Amino acid sequence: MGNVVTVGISDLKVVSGSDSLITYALGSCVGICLYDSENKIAGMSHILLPARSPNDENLMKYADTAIPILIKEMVSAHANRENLVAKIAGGASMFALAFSSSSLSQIGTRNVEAVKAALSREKIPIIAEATGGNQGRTIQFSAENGSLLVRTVPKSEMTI
Amino acid sequence: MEQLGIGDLSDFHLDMLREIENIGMGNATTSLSDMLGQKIDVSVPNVDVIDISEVYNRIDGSENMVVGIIFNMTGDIEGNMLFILEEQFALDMIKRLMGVDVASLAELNENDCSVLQEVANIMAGSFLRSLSELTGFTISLSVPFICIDMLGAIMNIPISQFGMIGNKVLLMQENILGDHCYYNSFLLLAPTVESLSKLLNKVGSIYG
Repeated sequence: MGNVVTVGISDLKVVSGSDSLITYALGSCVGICLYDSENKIAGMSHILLPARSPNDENLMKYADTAIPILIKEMVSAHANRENLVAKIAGGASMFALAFSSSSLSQIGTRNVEAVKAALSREKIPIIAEATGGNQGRTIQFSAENGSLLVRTVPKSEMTI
Repeated sequence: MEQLGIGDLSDFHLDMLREIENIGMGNATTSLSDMLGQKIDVSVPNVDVIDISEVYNRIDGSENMVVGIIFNMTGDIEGNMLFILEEQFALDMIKRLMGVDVASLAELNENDCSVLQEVANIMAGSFLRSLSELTGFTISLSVPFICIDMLGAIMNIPISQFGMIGNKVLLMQENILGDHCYYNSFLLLAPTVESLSKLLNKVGSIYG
């Protein structure tokens, strides 16, 4: 068994071989998992918001700026850019009715849309997703085989 | 007026926030005690400024199933107020107020959820009343919205709000102490950055 590396909020990590990546309790946040199956290299980013606000230096917080960094880090770790495929999870509406008129309105949905747009710009296909709905998700991504375990409560698990 | 970011908060500001939290939660738990006919106390308030990427390392059990009840605040102070009730606390409230045993949060029905929303409503109302009395601000609360899920996933909402204005989260929490028990439940006040500045300036002028 390899190491399990934790990815925090507005954080991203790359692992390879028998290691895996985990991020806990995605609500409206989205976890983006990129995989190169030939070289067994896995990357994960946990974004909080869809688009970067001007002057914010924390590029790993936003869908539009985190994904290019994740790709760059995977290529630095000797992943082949052409091999990359994506699995995404999260973007739930935890309090669907509470934020109809604030900046938090539909934040989960907007995060997922921004992630899809950024991946499409980078021409990376999304091969699986567990997004939307109203449940929190913990995800674990294996560099060994690219499988993504999605855990929700009440206890339930599925692999996509 | 000086605009303060979350990252600019000094020890003096944090002390003021502890004081606000202390007074507010003191009143909130008094209301709860009255409702239950049982003495309820709160721990020393914990007010901390932490990096967004560190939040899950600082809260216990981000995957634990909890009850989250959120209110929008409008008026002189805007933002959100989030109550997190851990499973045992929520189930004890149902037992005391409804006289029924519920085995787990997964088994709560709509009626039970209404009871918990009402508990949070009473606590939030008295918290804000004390804040209004202290500051002279008029603050209105929305109806309560409930979500039963992973602690971390529920916390995404206030974290997103803080994330829009910086990379720090202001975590204010107190634990609720029952007669012979201890509940790891807390309240999180997430004002917008403008409202936080306004609040600190006001409270600073009172205590300064």
